[in-house]
Amino acid sequence: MNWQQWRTLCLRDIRLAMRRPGETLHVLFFFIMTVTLFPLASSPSATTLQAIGPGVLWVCAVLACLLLLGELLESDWRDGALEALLFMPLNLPLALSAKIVARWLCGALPLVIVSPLLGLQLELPASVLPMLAGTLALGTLALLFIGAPGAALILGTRNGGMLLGLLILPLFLPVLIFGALAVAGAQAGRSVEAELSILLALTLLTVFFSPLATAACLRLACE
Amino acid sequence: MTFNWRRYASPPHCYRLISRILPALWAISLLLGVAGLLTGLLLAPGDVQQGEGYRIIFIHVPASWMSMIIYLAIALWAAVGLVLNTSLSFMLMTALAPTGAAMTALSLLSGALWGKPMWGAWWVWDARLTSELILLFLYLALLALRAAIDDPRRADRACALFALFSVINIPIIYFSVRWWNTLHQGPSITMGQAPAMSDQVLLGLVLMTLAAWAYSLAMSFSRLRLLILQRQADTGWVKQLTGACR
Amino acid sequence: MKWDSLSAFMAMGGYGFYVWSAVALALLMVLGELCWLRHSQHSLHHRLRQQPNTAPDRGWHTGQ
Repeated sequence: MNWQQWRTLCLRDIRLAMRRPGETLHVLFFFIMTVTLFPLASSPSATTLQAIGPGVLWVCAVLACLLLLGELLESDWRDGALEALLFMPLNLPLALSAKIVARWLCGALPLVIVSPLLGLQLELPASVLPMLAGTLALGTLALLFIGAPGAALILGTRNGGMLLGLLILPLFLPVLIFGALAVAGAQAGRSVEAELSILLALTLLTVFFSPLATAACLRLACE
Repeated sequence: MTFNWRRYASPPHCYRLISRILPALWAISLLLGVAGLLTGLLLAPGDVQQGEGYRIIFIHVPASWMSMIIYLAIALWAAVGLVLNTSLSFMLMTALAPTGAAMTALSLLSGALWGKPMWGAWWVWDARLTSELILLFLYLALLALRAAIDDPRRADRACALFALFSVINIPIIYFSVRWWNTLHQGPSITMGQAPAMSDQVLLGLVLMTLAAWAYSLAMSFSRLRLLILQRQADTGWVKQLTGACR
Repeated sequence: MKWDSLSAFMAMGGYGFYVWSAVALALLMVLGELCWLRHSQHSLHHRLRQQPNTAPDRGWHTGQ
């Protein structure tokens, strides 16, 4: 499988997503709304918001990724495109990585772009916002890759959406911890080199290994 | 004469073997459990720092160890099943999971009962406690995944893949939770260093640990026996067997 | 024997509630698993006798 084919697959998914902008916007608004709920549920005071801000943004991003993953393979599975992909003379893990990257570009990148605004809403200092957007960009990519095998496992099961959270939320934990720690550390003026290196290492590891696991899970679902 | 262990990968042979050893296994676990509880609760002296409250160790520590060992065993059988394609490995994996989940829940609950008098809180966000909670979530996910898939063959493989994928993640999760909170007690038995506990306490702990092993084996083998019957319901030997017990 | 009387044994030096609750939970777990096993054993045998050819496999013995 060469770069040309990979790009074609990726562009196909992006085009499909562009044709149905509702899904992308749905996840984006979900992210914004859940973040908005926290000040309403706790308190609008600046000290509270600054204390919970990084965690809130990260947890909401994790939940939004869960929504994205629920739709990652579902529609392609329903209309048979996944099975067609399985029988094409392609490298299946690479083809799947193209789908995940496309999903990240269409679904997760909008979240990353609006996250600084939400950070301002939660009274985070402006100096932290680049760190917030940067870790979210890296982290959501890692989350989508970590969750992809789970998304393949739930294809065709009862209550798949509910099951997905149960399956992959525990596995999201390391990315969530180091992402939120990096933002909170930057907020406290600490050096966060270690957290960032670990986040990067986690991302690279999952980007490499998760397509292999996803392909194995997908073959099982399409037997 | 050579002993052909592969014979027991065949469900009828395995069924006969575990039917033969199960009564002994149950008796051993009962004996070990009673002996362990008697040693721990009656004979062992009180702890200098924790008074009599430390006796929860005889429940808590074996349960915690079993919860981790059973998850490793599940992952091991998952790998064996995926590589060798043996249905019995998947059945063993399936049979182990409920006992593992029960052990994890017991470990968390007894830990809370220990934490309240010692630390003054039912729950603290300590690295080991949090990891144990995550382990419970993984067990529940495994059980839920099994329950959500109707085709037994697909359920076997899906659970095996999930077990393998999650067991690789467990060290990373533990590492990140520890990073997040380095506040925690030292391990109760440190390797290479004489344990700071009396012989009777150690004896009680060893007995209870062995009892937990025997109990887990007995319970999962009992469940395995039912699983074999259920999966092989259409075969001749099961029909013969159920015909005989009519 | 460490204990002087039964009441001292039950009191566990003031930690009676915690220690005995932990023991009770362990016993409850064992009993619960045994009951579940027995229940699934009964329903499985019942099913095998009733309709030996159409045993739907639901994985865990949920008793269905």
